[in-house]
Parts: sequence; C-alpha cells; structure tokens
Amino acid sequence: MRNILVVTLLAMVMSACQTPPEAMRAGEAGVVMTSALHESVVRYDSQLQATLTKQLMQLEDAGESAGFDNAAGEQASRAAGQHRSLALIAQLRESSDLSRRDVELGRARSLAAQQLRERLTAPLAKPNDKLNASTNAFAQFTSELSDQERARIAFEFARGLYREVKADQPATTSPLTAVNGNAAAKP
Amino acid sequence: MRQSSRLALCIAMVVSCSACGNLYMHSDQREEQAKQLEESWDGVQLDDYFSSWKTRRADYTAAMLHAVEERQRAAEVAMRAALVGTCVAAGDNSLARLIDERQRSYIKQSCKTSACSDEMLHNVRTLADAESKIATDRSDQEVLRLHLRALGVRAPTCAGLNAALGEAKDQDVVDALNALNGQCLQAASAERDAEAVRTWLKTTAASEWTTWSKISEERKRQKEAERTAAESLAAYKSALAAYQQAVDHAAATRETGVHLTEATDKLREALTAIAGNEQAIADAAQLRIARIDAVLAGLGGNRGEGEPTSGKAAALLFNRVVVAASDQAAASLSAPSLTLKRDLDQQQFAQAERLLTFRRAKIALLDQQLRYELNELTGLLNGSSHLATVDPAFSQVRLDDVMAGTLPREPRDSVSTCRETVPFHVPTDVRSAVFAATNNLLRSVGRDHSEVARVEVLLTSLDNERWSAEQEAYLERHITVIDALVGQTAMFGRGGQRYTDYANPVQALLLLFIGKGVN
Repeated sequence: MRNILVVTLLAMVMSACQTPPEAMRAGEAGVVMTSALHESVVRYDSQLQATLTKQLMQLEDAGESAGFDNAAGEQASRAAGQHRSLALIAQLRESSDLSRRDVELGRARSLAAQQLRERLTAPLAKPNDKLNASTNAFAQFTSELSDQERARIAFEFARGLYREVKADQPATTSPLTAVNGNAAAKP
Repeated sequence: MRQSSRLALCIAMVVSCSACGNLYMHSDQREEQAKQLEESWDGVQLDDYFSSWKTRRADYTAAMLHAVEERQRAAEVAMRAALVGTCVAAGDNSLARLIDERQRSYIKQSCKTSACSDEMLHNVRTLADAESKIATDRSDQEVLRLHLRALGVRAPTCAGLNAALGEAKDQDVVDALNALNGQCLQAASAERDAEAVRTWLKTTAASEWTTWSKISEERKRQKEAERTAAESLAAYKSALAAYQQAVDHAAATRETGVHLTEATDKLREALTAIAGNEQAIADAAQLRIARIDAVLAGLGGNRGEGEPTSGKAAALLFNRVVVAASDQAAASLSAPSLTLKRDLDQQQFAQAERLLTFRRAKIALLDQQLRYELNELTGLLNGSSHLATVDPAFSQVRLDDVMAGTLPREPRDSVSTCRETVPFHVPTDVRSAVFAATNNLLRSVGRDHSEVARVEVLLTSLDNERWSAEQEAYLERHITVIDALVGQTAMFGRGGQRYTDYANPVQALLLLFIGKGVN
C-alpha cells in the first residue's frame, strides 16, 4: 500500500511538470498568429494614414482653389459695377454676395477644416499593446520548449494553418497611395 | 501474485496520471497564465478599430464632396466675372472662345488620342444638334396640336398622322396636319442622326473615351469572370470527386501512392484557378460549407461551438484540400475543428460577395460619370450652336451690352477690345441666343462639372473602401484562428487534475492503511 501511494505521488509530481504537446502547439501557433496579426494591423494602419494624409492635402487644395476663385470673382464683380448690363450685373452681384459671404465665413471654414484635420489625424486606440500582451501570454505556454523545437512547430504551423490564412492575403499597398495610383477627384 | 497486482495498479495510476493527454496535473501558475491570455485577447477589439477608420473615411468623403460643391460654385463665380467686358465672339476672351476652349480641353482630358478628340467633337456636336433639334421639333409639334384642338379635332401622335389625314376634310385642319407631319419627319430624322452617333459612341468611341473604356473594361472583366466562374467551379467539382475516389481507394487498399498525390495536385490546381474570381470563390466556399455541414450532421449535429480546436485536427484541417477528403476521413476529425474551418469558409464566402457588390457599384458609378460628362459636353456644344445663330454683326459687341439690350453711343473705356459701333438695338433672338450660350457655359463650369467631380470623389472612396474591406477580411481570418487557439490554450491552463481531487481517495486509503496497522 505504501508503494502504491509513493508511486502515485511520484506520477502526480511528474505529470505536473508536463505540458501536453497539443497545448504547446497551440501556444506556439498563438505566438506566430498574434505576431502576424500585429504586423498586418501596423501595415493596415500605416497605409490608411498615408492615404488620409494624401487626401487631406487634396481637400486643402480644393478649398484653396475655391477661395482663390471666389476672391477673383468678387474683385471682378466689383469692377463690373461700372457696367450697365443689368442681367449680367444682377448675376454678378448675386455671385459677389455669395462670395462676400464666403469670405466672411472664411475664418469659420478654415477653423472647421482645421478641426476636421485634427479629428481625422488624432491617434486611434490601436489594439497593438493588447496584441503584444496576447503574444507574450501565448509564449508562456511554450517557455519550456527549446528554440529548435519552437522553430520546428512554427514551420509545421506555417505549412498548415498559417498558409490557410495567408492564402487570401490581398495587396498590401492601398491603390490611393500607390505611385501613379488612382488620382483623386480633380474638381 | 499480490506483488504483481500491486505493480499493475501502480502502472495503471502512473499512466492515468501522466501519459493520458487530459489527465495532467493542474497548475495555478498555468491557470494565471490562461487568465492573462484571455484578458489580453479580450482587449483586442478590432471591430471598434475598424469602425473608427470607417468613420474617418466617411468624414473625409463628406468633407471632400462639400469642397467639390464649393469649388464648382466658386469656379462659376470666377467664370461670370471673366465674362464681364468680353465680346460675344471676337477676341481671345470672347464668350465663343471660352466655350470653344472648354470644349477642347474637355475632349482632350477625356480622350486618349488626338484622333478621338476631333472625331469625338464632331460626333458629340452632331448629337447635341440632333437633340436640340428634336427638342425644338417636339415643342413645335405641341403648338400645332394645340392649334388642331382649337380647330375642334383630335390631335394625333406622329404614328397616327396618316389616319388623321385620311379623315380630315377641313382645309385648315389638313394644313395643320401637314405641318405636324413635317415636324414629325424632321424629328424622326434628327432621332436617327442622334441614334447613329450614340451607336458610334458605344462602339468606336468606347475604347477611346477614358470613362467609357473603363466601363467597357469593367464589364468585360465581369462577363469573363462570370464565364470562368462556371468553368472553374465545374473543374473544381470534378477534381473534388476524383480526389474523393482516390481517398476511398487509398482507404480500401491501404495504399497512398501516386494516384492520391496526382488527385491532390489536380485539386490544388483547380483551387488555384479559382483564385481572384470572386464568384467562383463564393461558390466553392459554399460548396465546402455544405460539405462540412453534412459531416457535422453526421457527427450528431454537435458543431461544438465555443469549444477549443484540437491542435492535431487543426493542423490537418488547415489544408483546404483535407475537407475534400472522404466523409469517413473528415468524420475522424473533431467537430470543433470542422466548425473553425466552416467559420473560415463562411468568412471567405461573405468577403467574395462583398467584392462582387463593390464591382457592381463601380460600374454603376462609372455609368453615372459618363452620363454627366456627356451632359456637360453636350451643354457646351449646345452653347456653340446658339452662338452660331447670332448675326455676325454682333460678334464684336460686348456681352453685357447685348444682354442689356441697348448699346452705348460712345466707347466707355479703353480696356475692352470690343468694337461698339454696331446697331443700337439688339434683337430679341440675339439676346436670347447669347443668354442661352452664357447659361450653358456657366452650367457646364458649375452644376454639370460638379456632378462629374462628385462621382470622381465617390469612385475614389469606393476604391478605398474596397481595399479596406479586403484588408479587414484578411485580419478577421487571423482573429477567427486566434480565437480558437486562445480557447484551446485557456482550457488547458484552467484544466488538469487538482490535488484536491485526490485528497478524499488518498485520505480513505490512509485510513485503511492505519486501520490495517491497528488490527
């Protein structure tokens, strides 16, 4: 009976040190997968940031161009006051009124543009920190493995599960940030 | 005998405690690690992150549309200002020159070759003339029909004219019907001219006009995709059936030789052929989902949702080909693995459907853009046509003077290059033609071009949305897999045999042992 108890306790102690291979594989898979996800999120984020920066410049160009045309219109319509053409002058006065109103609103508009820029470029709460924490948490489950064993599991994983996910990886460069990409609106 | 039974019991317990995968000892440290893993993974909220970006993209598009509207209005204001002091048709800045320049720059911008520019200008002008003529003829027809009603007879349509002429007796009615007939014939002739140009635009110009050629390419791609989708899906089904046969054969003969390898390679080829074809991808994914559902139903309907994936089964399953294996082979895999595979296929199906919707939306937007471009160009050409009717004596007169209806007796300033020594009275038809041409130019610069520019913004936004949707779907596939891995790892961390599970049996054994000692 004493032998039984000793052997039982010994087995329990031995087994407590063991991690089933499946859990190790899942842990290593988790490390690979969360790291890959992290990289992809960073890429996605930087591409969208680049696109947005480019688009905001186009937006400012459009605004400046409108301001320039408005100013030109207003100046010319003042000169037009000397002429007698009632219909055209009426049209120009209307334009001039609109233009003047735009100038009056100019400050408010530029403030709104600035607010929009600030809102659109404010740092987003990215999931990167939590992803790093998940990668580290997965890694704890494989801490008993040697580097060689980890590499082997990662390789097997890459051949199977990761390849399945990678199969549908789309082009990583946004068409709007690509050189000679789709030109934005040319109003 | 007693010794050997003790030994057997020992071995059994060792095996049960350590060798069997599920019977490992629980560890508080592992449990804490599992808790940390679940907490950190719960904090990864990609949906919120994606939706923040979506809101930003929508905000930008709204701001850009507003800017486009403002810019076009400002361009119209600037054009109005530019028209002050210009002549009707003479000089570098005349109304006629401004219209002509805008037409040419528009054609140059929209056409791929200079040959297209000249021919396009000629043909769109013909179209504009024909459409203008049709509108005038229809308006004249309505006047004649009013006249016929005033004469007390029914006003016929163009198709019913012959019958009405046969019945008419009164000479006034016959004259009115003949006049109506003349208008109908002219309108029909103009309609034929317009139709000929429209056909030319659809065929010859389709490859030369930038927007038209984009539409043609998109449509061609869509038709090609529809055709190849059917073909590649049929090839996939056939390769799938051949693979299943090879698997069954291998299972029966216990031989996994060349036959199975060839079938696997062919199935892979069929899958590669599908890549990039959204329709085929969606169809193939649906096929796999149906197959997995059938296998799951065979397993007793237990889809094992929420359960972790077996690593071994997952490693096997995450080759797409494996799902094509025989039902027996698939059934040997665990239900949760199949559920995970099903989730991935479901995501792939939804993504393919989304991409198809983007493609259709792009064609619809390009169609709109083309319509607005032709509107703008036709408007400019109509402006030219109006000016062509103006008496050349007025070509060197200031535009604002023509619009005012009277002309100054003496020159007012030295800036204007227009001559002001022409008739002192401006006929109504000249005024109205100049007004119409001016309005056409202003509408082209303002409203018409604003619509073209608006669609361009929407097309850019659509491209951006499509790219983002592709990226997000790709990231979501990672999430689906990681979800399963977290579940599996966390279950392991929380599980295992606890010392407390053994406390009572051990205590009972100790009591027996003590009792035996006492006795």
